[in-house]
Amino acid sequence: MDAHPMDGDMPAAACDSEAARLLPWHLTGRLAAADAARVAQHLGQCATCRADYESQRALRERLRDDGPLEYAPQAGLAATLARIDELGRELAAPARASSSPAGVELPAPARRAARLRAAHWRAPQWLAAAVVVQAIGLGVLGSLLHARGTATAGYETLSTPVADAPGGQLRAVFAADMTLGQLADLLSARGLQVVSGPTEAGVYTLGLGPASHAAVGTALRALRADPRVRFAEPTRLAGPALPAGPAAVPQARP
Amino acid sequence: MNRPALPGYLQAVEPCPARPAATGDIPLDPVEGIPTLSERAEGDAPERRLLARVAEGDRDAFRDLYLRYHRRLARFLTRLTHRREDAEEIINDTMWIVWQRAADFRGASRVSTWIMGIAYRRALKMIRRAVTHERAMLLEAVDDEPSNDQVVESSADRKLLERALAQLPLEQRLVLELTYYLDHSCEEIADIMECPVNTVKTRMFHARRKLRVLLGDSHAAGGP
Repeated sequence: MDAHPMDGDMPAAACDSEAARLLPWHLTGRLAAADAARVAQHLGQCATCRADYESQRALRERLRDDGPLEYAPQAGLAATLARIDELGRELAAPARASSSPAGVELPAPARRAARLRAAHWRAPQWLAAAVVVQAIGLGVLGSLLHARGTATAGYETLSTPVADAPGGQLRAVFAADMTLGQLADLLSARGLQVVSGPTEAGVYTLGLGPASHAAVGTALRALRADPRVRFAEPTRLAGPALPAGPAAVPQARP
Repeated sequence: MNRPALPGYLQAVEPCPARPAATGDIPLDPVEGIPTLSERAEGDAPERRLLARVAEGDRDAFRDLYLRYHRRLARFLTRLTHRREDAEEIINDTMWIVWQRAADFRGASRVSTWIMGIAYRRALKMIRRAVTHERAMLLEAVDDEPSNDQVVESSADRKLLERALAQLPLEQRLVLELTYYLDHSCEEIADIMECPVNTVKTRMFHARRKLRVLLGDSHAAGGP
């Protein structure tokens, strides 16, 4: 469908010259000089294309009329910046642990770039996981939803800030083949409860009840360490930062 | 000669009819978020500088870039998905990828081409997912009454145009949008859509022909 050898099947009614095909970009001023000259010369000779030029100009004006469309970028910007902050905190922890003993540090941008490269495509991976969960269906997990009696009318995505789940501290996506029993075990072992979800994308909002931030961080790490957890992130990004450095992390005892 | 010739610097600010498109009530360049002619003449150096700062982790630069791109992404993606909420989600995913991959941008293309390409691919993924879920929003032509409040409210004229656009194959609709709204060149569109330049020209050609039929000769798409 995409391959189109030549101009052979162009409509007979219209001019089928190469110049006619370039007309739209002549109109927008986006042709290279040689092409622009060619089209200009052709326009001087071809009444069909001159008429077409005028009609395309009118079409372009109509297309550029946004009408009542309103743009409100602030909410999306805030959500994306929050996501960036979380990524930064996540990446800061291992870097701090590894860089101090050697005493040799890369310049900050290089260090950050290296870490970012390591984290590349993390988001697409977990988004893909969310899609898989969604695609396979929420049959098993849906029963939990019913048990919670929660309505999921909204279309919440991973990047949506959770303002309407007061007890929610974490968001997570679980493996599609995880059973309800396994899910319940995993959550209860970490003192977690489902606050809301799953959303259409399979995202659960989880809560710890009255827990310290350290506990949220611990639960977060535990979830991330579990292979059945496709994705986990904190929902609260304001307030005290999650424990990042080694000092704040409860060390595993030998 | 009724009046003396103007000095050169004043001649430069005489009414400038150079751009054939700049007529009528609708200003063609000052669409917020779309580079103006003078910005375009400068190339995308400012955006490259912004992106370089983003690669260094500069949040302020990221904020600038986000705000610069939000409008054109919103418009482009709303055309693709027909749903503002989907468009917003794709914008955030796109800009998130931009944040993470800014250091990988090698400057082989314009910044805008690079970002629109990311958005295009994210949108295609979402559309495939949506089709799986029988939301089939793309095939939902714009009805007489909007199916929900996400569908842009339209004047009669706009509604006619929207309906005609909805009948174009997705690729043709996007080439039209990338050309006439976002002012991308043929080569840039080929980069964004990852197809040969000739395919872009052909898609545009067919889009114009189809619109001419759909809108009727009295409308913009075709003169008698």
